[in-house]
Amino acid sequence: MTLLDVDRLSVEFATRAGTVRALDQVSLSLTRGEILGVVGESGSGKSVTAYAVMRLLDPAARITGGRIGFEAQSLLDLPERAMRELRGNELAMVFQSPRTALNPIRTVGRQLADVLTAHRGLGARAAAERAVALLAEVRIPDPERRASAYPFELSGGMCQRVMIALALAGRPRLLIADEPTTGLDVTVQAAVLDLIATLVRRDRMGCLFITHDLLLAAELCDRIAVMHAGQVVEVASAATLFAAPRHPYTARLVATAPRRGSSIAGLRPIPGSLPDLRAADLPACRYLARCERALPHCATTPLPDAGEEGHVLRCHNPL
Amino acid sequence: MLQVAGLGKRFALGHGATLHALADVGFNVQPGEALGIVGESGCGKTTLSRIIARLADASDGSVQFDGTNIAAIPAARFARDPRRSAIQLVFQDATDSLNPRFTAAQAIAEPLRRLRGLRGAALAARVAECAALTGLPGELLSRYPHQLSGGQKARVGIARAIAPEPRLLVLDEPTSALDVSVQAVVLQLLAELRTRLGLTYLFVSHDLNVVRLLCDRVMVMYLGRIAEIGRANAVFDHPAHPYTRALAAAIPTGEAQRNRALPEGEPMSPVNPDPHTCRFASRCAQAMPRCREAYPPLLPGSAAPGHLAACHLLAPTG
Repeated sequence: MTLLDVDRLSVEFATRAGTVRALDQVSLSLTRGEILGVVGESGSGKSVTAYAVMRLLDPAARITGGRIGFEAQSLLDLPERAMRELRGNELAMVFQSPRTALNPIRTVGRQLADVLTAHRGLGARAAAERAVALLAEVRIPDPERRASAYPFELSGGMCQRVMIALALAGRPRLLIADEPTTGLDVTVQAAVLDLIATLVRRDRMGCLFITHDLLLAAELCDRIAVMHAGQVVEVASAATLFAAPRHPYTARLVATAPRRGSSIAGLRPIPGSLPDLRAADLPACRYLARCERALPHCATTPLPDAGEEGHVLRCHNPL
Repeated sequence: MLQVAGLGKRFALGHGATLHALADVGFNVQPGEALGIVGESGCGKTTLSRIIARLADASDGSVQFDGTNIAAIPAARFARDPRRSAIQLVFQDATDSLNPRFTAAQAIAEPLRRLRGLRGAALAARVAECAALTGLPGELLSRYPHQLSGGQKARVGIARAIAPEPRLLVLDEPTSALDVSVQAVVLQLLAELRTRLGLTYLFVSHDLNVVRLLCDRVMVMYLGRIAEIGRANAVFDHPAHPYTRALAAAIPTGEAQRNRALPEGEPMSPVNPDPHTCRFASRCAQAMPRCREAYPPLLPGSAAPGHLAACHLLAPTG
């Protein structure tokens, strides 16, 4: 059953230098118990998509089209109060830098208890006990003692576990993780990913996992959506995307990431850079200027929704 | 070219507490070689690179560079030493390390003025030459850092480092702030410059896939000590130290991973560590009583020459 259904979502930002067309008809869907990776370079719109779902976009942002369905509700039509009710309960988010996202002058146990009091209506005693239980759930050793620690007393990996515990406090059905392991060491990163995977499967949550690291996404996610310059270009199972990418951009991303067995000479950098999203004459396919397979009509014909069952492919001349 | 022996760095924290950032680090680097230094945050890899680049002073030990112990020259004095131009650095984030008030050309010219005394036409010619070497288009030279993309700033950082014709380049996570497609371009540039200019690299990174790609040998550090050192293929394909095995298992491969063995618990504190305890023992699944009685010496990690690891498990049984 579909948990999250982002349908042709378009977002613009008004800036002094012009209107930035940050998202162009982005469609994604997610079922319960599934981890969907959203992968792209900086500026691809992956975080904007996440913030749009949480309705935490900057005031300069304007949603110019599309809808966001969450179970039976249409998130863009909800009043702010109902939205606030959903955030922290059904919808939860894990942010990129846990140390800045946590309150530095409150112990982690108190921060967890605050969420439990606000969202689950627990009394002080029960909230404190549940906070310790949540810390244990994210495998923080010695949770009773750690509950009274301030964020600065904990390592980066521990802080990220606290963030995950905070997200889980409301028993969410959708977990959005925005680059949750950036800045963490590889062994810690692997442990945090294993934790997210275990919890998502156990609680049958849906998880939107945002990362710039295709290899990481392929390890963790069931399906991966590749974004480029505000457009979703390809969505497929992680295995398919790696073994047989069909969009020229996906193929380049796969070929450019260093991994076991690759050589310096074998890396194939992607030519050019992201187009200026403020340009009035953005082509229909925003990958056009970087693409080796571009056809004359790629500039004007809207992106197709091609591909077989379960494989979204938005390209006029795929591999 | 470079011989590091018994290098240690301690920071006094007050109240009798001492942070041991580096202890007894020793290794050699051959001319033209690229040595990767990997390890988790706090393992001492940046401190080590700063000491070798002579930006920080060691507490003990020596760094022989071309037969002179440069660790004996205080960092402040080394700034005016003729050897300063022979060792240059490429920093982690070009956005933070470039002076925002300097154009690209000024940034590249600065070390040439200070270390080489170049002025006028000779200076301009060398700046243009370095820009060309790093693939930086001439029209970008008059731009300020905020007018350049991440990849262009990385090129300015590299052009500036190679400008005074160094022989040793210390690279501290040069690609960690870049997108994969830009990272690939910068890695190819670094590989090309190394061959073309005959440079020696000390490459600090937490990205093991990148280190494997660029380096001949790799040194794995854990809490200020060498855990394992050897040819990159030997270390990554046949890791001998339990910590290296955990690191190798944690490298993203792009395939779904199940049941990988990750170290449990937290690293021990680098403050006043017990010198007779292996620093990985608290997280090691194979720790034995001996690991808490004596710090393990570097022992052969495999049949490959020069492959060493500091682990009691490698000791001949008995």
